[in-house]
Amino acid sequence: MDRRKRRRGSALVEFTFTGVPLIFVWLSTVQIALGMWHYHTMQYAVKATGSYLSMHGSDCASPNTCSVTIANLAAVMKYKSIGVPPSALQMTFNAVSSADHKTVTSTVTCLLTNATTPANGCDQNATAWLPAGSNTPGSEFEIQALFQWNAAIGMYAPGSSPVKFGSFLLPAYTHQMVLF
Amino acid sequence: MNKRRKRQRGGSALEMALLLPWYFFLFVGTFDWGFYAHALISTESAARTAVLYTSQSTATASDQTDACVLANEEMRIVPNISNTDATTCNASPLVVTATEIGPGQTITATPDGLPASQVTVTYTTLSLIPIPFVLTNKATFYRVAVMRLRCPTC
Repeated sequence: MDRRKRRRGSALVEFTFTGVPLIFVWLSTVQIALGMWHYHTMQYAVKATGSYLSMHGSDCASPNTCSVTIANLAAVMKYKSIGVPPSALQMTFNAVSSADHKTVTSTVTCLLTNATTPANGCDQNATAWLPAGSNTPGSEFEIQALFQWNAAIGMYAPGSSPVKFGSFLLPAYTHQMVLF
Repeated sequence: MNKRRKRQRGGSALEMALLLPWYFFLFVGTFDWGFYAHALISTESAARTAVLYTSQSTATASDQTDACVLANEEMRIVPNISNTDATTCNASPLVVTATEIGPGQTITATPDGLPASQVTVTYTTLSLIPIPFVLTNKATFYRVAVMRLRCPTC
């Protein structure tokens, strides 16, 4: 009985020592899983939106009636990026020179929302995309998405940047060309 | 009682010491595989983007320079490519080749027997932490993408 008395409470102390780190391990696992979900979904959505745009080039112009706008592309992007908060997705649509594959000839940047104040919501943007002259088969374009991911943990990517805690910009990118 | 406690003293430290390397390599393995998986997906993406361009016509089917630029742009997301602006892509970490394949070419076999463009991308990762006998510190990924020429007479 004396021995049991002496040991009473030790399990609680040990649990306190291990429990706190374990909570962080658990939180980290959940956070990484969420981050990977967002990252993967964004990549998929951006590529799917690019594929959609590549099929809606100048062949969609009159007399055909399938031309698309930034708002149409935003709808595709939203539909494909399930689980990623649209209000935190910064989209950039670039028309790119086919000569060097890099020079941006025209660009539209907007948030994937219907925000009107400031008037930068993709949902409200009726700009025809790609612009005339940059929408013939062979024309190139880029779609970029940036997602501000706020995590409760820090990550370190060797060789890329210093250690940062808390907030990361998750990128997604596609470079494709108009096929039709 | 005192004797028993004395005998047990150090046991947990020893167990911890025995387990720590396993935990360490478990972490290293997860970390490395994460990077390798990311690199593999990026390599595949680079090959697809490049072949989408080279499959336009016979004029672009073997366009090594443009295939390199496009693959390089797509690979910018991986650490050891992020600051390069390559136009040749003929040495590690990124090697890109573009070839016309099909009837009359060196490689005649294509999926449907029609002229196509073939792009290969070989990417070598940066040095990570190795696990002896299991995982090397660098991995090389090789991806091939083939696409039928959209204008085989151009």
